[in-house]
Amino acid sequence: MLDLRLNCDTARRVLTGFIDNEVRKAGFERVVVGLSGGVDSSLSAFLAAEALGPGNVWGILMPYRTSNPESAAHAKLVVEALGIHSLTVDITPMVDAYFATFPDADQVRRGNKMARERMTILFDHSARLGGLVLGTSNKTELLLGYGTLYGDMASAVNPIGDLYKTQVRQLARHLKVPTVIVEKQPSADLWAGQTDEAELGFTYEEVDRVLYLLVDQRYEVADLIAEGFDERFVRAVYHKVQASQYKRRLPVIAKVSSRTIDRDFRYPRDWGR
Amino acid sequence: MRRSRVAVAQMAPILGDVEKNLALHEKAAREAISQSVNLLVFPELSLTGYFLKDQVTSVALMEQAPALDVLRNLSHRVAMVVGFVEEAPGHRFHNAAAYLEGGEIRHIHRKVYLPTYGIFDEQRYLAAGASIQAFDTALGRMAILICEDLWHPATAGIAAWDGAEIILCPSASPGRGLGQAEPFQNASTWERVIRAYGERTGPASGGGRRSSAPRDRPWPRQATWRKSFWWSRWRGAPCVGRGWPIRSSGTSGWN
Repeated sequence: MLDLRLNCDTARRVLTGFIDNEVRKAGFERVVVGLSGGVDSSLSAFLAAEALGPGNVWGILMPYRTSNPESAAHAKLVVEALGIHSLTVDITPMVDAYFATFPDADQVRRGNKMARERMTILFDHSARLGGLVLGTSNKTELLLGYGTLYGDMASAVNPIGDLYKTQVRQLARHLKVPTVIVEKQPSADLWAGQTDEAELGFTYEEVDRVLYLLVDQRYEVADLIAEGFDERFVRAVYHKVQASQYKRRLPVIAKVSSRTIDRDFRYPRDWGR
Repeated sequence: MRRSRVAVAQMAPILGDVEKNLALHEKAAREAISQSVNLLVFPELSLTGYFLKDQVTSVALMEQAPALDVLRNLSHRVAMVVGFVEEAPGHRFHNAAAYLEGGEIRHIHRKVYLPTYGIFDEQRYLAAGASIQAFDTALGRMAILICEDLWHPATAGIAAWDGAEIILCPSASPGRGLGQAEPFQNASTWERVIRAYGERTGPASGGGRRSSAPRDRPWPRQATWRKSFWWSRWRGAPCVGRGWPIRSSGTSGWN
């Protein structure tokens, strides 16, 4: 039951087909993707380059002054490997200008602000270049709520949102994303020395197994404990999934009319496409 | 059943646009005619696309709708199974499939089992059909079961008891459950189900043509499974429909 191995040939075919289909159906040919130098955005860029051709993919690097220089170096590896367009927008001036007014802001506020600053740049370049914003959130972080709402979670099309982090790595290896990117410690790089696994308190291998059983195989918490998983760990994961449910839905709308958006006004996202 | 050429129109209908989909059907039908196809099977809800939600009432057609004339006319040259939303008397909206032949609609099947699990929500928007019937065609006696219908073994049994030699099953089910094995998990399950129906009278049950199986055996003979029917071209879209026929491998009814 616990098998997170992916048939990479099929996944590659399905996901490139998905990008091609969804982007063209929306009336576009191009995508804009924020390149962090991490495995998620690198994989999204590799899939998009294969689906649409490298000439239709813009990789945007958006460093902050405290960003690890390795991040930009790895993002450039992706740009060079694929031959996609790229440009760099330094977000330091706008982020620092804002926090000059709020100098006491903590790391979380600063991190969220950076993620949302990057989002505005991606959507501005979406309009500038006529390309859809390609999502880079994987299933693990979407389920844990480990992302900034309307920040890195914002996109038009997300090819990797149904792949757990460990599956993202499998597919990235298969597509020959540079090994240094696939094997490095994942980090949101919002402050110096930050790593996902230190911040979350567990490894992706560990949490993916629990999430897969909870979500895909519909185990209850009690079933997982009976299977020998650590109770505190399982409950902590379950709580994160539950507490972040709001991030995966549209804002709740107070119902007063007879037909309310997203309740009883229901059309597919590609309505009329 | 006499030997005939059956083709599947593997296509991605445009969601909610009957006019454009009619043009896609016409194109596919003309191509089928040029290849001497006898029967062309379109996917479930091929005229409308599958994930319609609140569009159901906007895209529905009555059986007599003039919009279907172009297909009626083409059916003089190739028989077709076409999926559409049928508005039945009393404003009941059905997930339906029509068998067109010789310039007319010979039969309409209204999907009986409307799935409401996983990604599916059909019974919110559609009314369930109430019958499964075999019908005669120039190619033999047939029955249509739409997607989920076929997952309920009684439906294939009813069709067979009613004399169907061939079961046609249009579907718009997206591939899902990707793991290590090829193909998708639900595609493997489809294969097992169809094989089970086929083997019900195949070698395993002694029901082959030359066997001494009883004459009233209520299942169509050995179904021929062709993987390419649904795996030929994955297009990645949730509205991609795929249909495939199960056809009798023999040249006449079971013995």
